Amino acid sequence: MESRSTSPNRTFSVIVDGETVRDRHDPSEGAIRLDPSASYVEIRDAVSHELVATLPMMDPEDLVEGPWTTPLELPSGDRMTLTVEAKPAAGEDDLPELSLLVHHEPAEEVARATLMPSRRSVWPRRMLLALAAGVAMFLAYRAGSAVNEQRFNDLLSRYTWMVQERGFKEPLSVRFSVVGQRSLQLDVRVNSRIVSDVFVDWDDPSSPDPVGGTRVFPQPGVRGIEGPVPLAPVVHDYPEVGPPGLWREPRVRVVRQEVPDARWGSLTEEQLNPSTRVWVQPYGIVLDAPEPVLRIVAPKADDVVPSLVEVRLEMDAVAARVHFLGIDATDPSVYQELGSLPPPRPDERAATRIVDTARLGATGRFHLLVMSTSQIAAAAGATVPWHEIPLAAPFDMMELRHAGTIVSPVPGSVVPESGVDVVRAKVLLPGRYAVIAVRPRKEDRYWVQNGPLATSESAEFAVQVSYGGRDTYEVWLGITEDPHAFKAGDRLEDLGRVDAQGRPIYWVGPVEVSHP
Amino acid sequence: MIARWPVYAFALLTVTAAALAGEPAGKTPVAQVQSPKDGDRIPRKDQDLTCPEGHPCTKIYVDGRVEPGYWPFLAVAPVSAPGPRIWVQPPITGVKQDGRFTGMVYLGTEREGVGEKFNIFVLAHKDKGRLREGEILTAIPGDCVASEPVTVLRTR
Repeated sequence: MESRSTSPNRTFSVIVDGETVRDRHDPSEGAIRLDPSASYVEIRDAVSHELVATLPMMDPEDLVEGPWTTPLELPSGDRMTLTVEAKPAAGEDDLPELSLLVHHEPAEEVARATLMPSRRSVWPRRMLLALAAGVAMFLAYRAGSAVNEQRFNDLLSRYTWMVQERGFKEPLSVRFSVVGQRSLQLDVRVNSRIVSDVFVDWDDPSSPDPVGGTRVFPQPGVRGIEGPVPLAPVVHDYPEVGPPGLWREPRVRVVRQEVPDARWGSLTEEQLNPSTRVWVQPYGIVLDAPEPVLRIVAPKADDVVPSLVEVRLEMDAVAARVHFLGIDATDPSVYQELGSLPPPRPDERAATRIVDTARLGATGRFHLLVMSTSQIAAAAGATVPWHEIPLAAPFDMMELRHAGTIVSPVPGSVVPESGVDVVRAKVLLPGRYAVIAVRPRKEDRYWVQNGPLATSESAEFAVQVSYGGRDTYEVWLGITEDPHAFKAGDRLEDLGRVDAQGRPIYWVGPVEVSHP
Repeated sequence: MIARWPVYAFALLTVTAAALAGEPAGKTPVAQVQSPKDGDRIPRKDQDLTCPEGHPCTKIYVDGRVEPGYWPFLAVAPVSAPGPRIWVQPPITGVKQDGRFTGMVYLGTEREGVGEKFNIFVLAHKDKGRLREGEILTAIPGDCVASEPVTVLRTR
């Protein structure tokens, strides 16, 4: 990578994960190789040891599409650009090679670059200056003609608008930038002919802004300026945080003039309400941070699921424990903890867990909710009142349903000495047929007890069951759309999952009973 | 990254819901939150008696009004939540003849919610059993009329 540093005098210490890797690094020396597993990089002034910048490191995979560039405007007025680049790994199991390029411009150079017109813009600027000169002559003439003073001032104001901020063609510009380990800077330029007020809400719970934000425009001293106005930068310090950090969304709210200057066109909702997501970490701030992703990939919403459900998740930027909660349609105010997973590693993008939903969906439908939070301490099987669920934690939720339920016997029941008993059950899907099958543990086959029985949705029905000799038995409820799928007395090697037409057969159970 | 402010998303939903309900412009809204007011810091001095000094203020009483023929449901949406989510609050037990009512809402938990902003609004529906406490909505139901949201800041 090319280095274009123009500051041979200022050198920096480069510290990776607390260890100094370069003591007096002159940016003109070129790129510095980085350990791909590094967590953060600190840049300090080599002489004063003052902290200049902290750069939290990304997952090397995120650098595949291109280098990661972080522009920094330092309080001294210097400008620094940190560029991290990855070269693909040599082998499949190797890590990519990372390099850091530090580009530094001292404040004087930044100022000079700002003042010097670029080659491309010389002619329009000359034309503008010529026009401004013409206007000035005209104003001088009008002033000399002793036109009334108010009119003169009005024209002067317009002239001032034309010569100031010549390059600023937008009605407003808003930019967030990281200027310190925990500091974020907001730079705003507005055209006062179209914008009346600007507010910022840093979304910092430790020092919250009022509802609607804190006003940053008009500022004292710029109230009377007409036209483009560059505002003094506003810097906000976020609190010190521990892992995994704090995700926030600082926002700007722009209020239009009641009668805006039509020359500047209209502003879109996005222009009026710009925001960015930041991830405040112990070592620094990530700007435009990825939004936490926690999504249930399987099952799908409205699926008919068995009691034991395999839940597959997609995750990103999720750092707290992942809880699986069930919400029964009969009482949505109580959430049942179904299980949890430990906090995912930073590179963990997927997870799977089997959860038992047998206690849910007695009337058919229930919700499965997955949430990443460190604020739920309930053990599996416990209940949590809804208002103790953190409202803002990342979550995903979907409605699922069970095909049916075995009302009796309940697990652990003892069947009568005669070995004949009744199974009571409900089918929770419309237009289905039901069969009951029992499986003696010693035989390892399923005995179908009845021909398919037409059922009504959610209506309880009973089937007489004959168990065999002394053994432990599993009781299953089969639900099918095919009235001829089974016959009483069938012996099944396994429980078929589809009928002859390929439609699903749902099996509910097992309920274990014993015949002692 | 540029993203819309959730407040405006809710405002848009509110307008949409009002339009669907055929509410004529300029008329008294079908539902509204009367107290707290937009921008209030919670707890309010001498008003939020559910929040004793020195304790987290997790719940407050809300006053509202609903047009005759509708039943109110209070709902809360944290402004900072990633993605829209609206939590249906404990049920309203009674509505006065003039449509005024009082109900309780939760603004986070003992450990979470301080320094956060919350949108509080009334969802109105003709069926008293339409929504249930603890339900999470990801959008305002099309058959409900939503009030303008009132945004408050919980300070402790």
